[in-house]
Amino acid sequence: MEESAVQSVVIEQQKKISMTCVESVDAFTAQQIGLTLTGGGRAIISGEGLKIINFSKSNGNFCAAGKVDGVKFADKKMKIAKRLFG
Amino acid sequence: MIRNDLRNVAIIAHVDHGKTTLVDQMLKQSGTFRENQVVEERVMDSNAIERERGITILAKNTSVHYHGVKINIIDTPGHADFGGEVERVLKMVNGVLLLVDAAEGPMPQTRFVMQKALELNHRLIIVVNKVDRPDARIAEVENEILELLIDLNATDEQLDSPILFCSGRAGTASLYADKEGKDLTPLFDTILNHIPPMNVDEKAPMQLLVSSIDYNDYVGRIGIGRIERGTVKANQEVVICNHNIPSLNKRGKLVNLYQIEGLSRVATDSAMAGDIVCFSGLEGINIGDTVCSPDKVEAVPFVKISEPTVEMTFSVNDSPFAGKEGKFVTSRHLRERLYRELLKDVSLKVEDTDTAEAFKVSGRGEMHLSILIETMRREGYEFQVSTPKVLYKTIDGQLYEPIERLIVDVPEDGTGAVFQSMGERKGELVHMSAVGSRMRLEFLIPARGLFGYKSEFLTQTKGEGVMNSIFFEYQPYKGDLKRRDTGSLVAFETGEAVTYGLFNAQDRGVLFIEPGTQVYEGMVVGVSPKTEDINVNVCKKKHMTNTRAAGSDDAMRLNTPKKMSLEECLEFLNDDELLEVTPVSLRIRKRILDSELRAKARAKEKKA
Repeated sequence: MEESAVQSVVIEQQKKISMTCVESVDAFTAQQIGLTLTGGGRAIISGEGLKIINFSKSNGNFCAAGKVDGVKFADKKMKIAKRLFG
Repeated sequence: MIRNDLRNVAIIAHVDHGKTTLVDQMLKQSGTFRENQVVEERVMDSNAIERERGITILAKNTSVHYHGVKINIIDTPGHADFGGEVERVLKMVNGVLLLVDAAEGPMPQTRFVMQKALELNHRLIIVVNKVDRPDARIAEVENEILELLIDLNATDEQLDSPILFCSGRAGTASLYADKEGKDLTPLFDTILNHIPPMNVDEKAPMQLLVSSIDYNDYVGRIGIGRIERGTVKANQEVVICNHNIPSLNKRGKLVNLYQIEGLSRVATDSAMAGDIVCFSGLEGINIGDTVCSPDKVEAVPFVKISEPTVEMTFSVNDSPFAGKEGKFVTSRHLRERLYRELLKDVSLKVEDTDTAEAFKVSGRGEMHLSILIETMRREGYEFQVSTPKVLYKTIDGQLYEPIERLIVDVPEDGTGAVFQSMGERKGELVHMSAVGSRMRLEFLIPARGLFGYKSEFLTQTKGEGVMNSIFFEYQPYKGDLKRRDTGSLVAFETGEAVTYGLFNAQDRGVLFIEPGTQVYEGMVVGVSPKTEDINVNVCKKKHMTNTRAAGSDDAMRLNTPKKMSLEECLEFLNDDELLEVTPVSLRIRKRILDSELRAKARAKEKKA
């Protein structure tokens, strides 16, 4: 998957969330799903009754269902700082 | 010349997707069996272990006649570990029937054999089998197959392969998913129409590639293969050569020649290019050799069989009970048997070690080696095996290890636990999707991460999970893995296990043995939840001399001992343990039997 692909998040009726540019699924429970994005950042989806429907490492597409309360992106700045200042 | 009177077809599929049952029906419906002849189910599975496990281990050849055309049918093993067999067999045919279970859909071995067949540009006939299953998902499976074909870069022609919907058990086939078939006629017709007849040159100098080997005591070694060119005659002078061994150029005489008719081999005087034949009289013939006529010696390129990935040490049984249950116990017996296995199994490797008592045996996975152990055990052999180890490689100074592609099918609530275990075993999720009401997860995981996981997986998924793996590639070493975190209960006295001794020992963990079992010092009699081993005395008797208060002699209830299968024993073994295999029993033992010596060795190890 090229580095230049656009990372996007689509939440439908707070019941289904689809994301692109997902590198790996790091952990998941019914309340929280932790993902690593191809850009190096991390995303944490929180909600209730979360269930992964689809994930493919080759094309980076990820999809989960359940009551989605929010998505939080983490560590992205820290990654950039590390790259600039080594 | 076009051989319109002949088709060579292999049936390929994943484990238990019904290959051999379908062949049984094809034989019945083509008239190979007389009406009143009693036919055992799964005729093609002649090996007892195959019957018990309901799997095919050895590829076998048979043939049927339909509308004047002889169809050679070759049944292939569905197990990932016997990949060597599948690759060899594909060299003998020019069309494949690809079987997929209507409920399970494409699985790892389906992917592996499909890739091999597409690489050889074989014509494909897709058979969605077991359509009579209540949980059949025919339309979904059809899409999954096409997605898999696309994923494997199939050509447009291969994407247009005909699809039939069959029930091997009922013996019916249909071209339409919604229409039930009456018999296998559509399948036979599709074979004749879709798989091209071979265009051969029967006048050219003879050339035959050996793809399989058999053995019988009367005629010795039997070679099996397809005639690529020319005509073969019984008692013909030939030359043996090999594509991978340029120096091989041996003259010989092909004494007996057989054609395959139904399930038997019928002697014949000659056979033409395109035919699959068996022959004997050429001692030392091997898989991958080419038999040519002396006037034109030319070796046929041979499919390179990928090397083994797992290794175990087979050694002579030197435990206290050695020689009591086995017929063949010496190292000469063991060595001769292992080297004889090499003749039939290209995926196996056997090496002598620095001692004459032990041999390094490597194969294509735990299953491959456990079936070899089971086979030898039933033949009366007695020996010891060590815990399986993966075969590393060093590439450009860096350590590489074998990685397997693992596909698991689990109920929805089982995904969390499986994902957890995979994380601990360095598995990397590459695909996850819902399949009906279940989830299908695909991981890339080090082969050593899979050791001992099967029983854990079945516990996690309450027996409902399906797990299959296949060798993927070698990748850089992924780091250390958490080994078995339980200890062993080790007997420290030789004798007979009695209830009193077992009753005291069962507080320490789960026992493997029951009262009356003969044990020896250093023998593992159970598993303890703690990581350290615990010495227990299961032979301790209740002394009758002293008096006891009334009621203290209540009946001692023993928990049911855990009976371990061969695979479970292999999974259980630690590095300092061996498995004693005899035709009658399986006993796990410590390498160092004496408890004091063992304690010293462990202390030294801790210091180092």
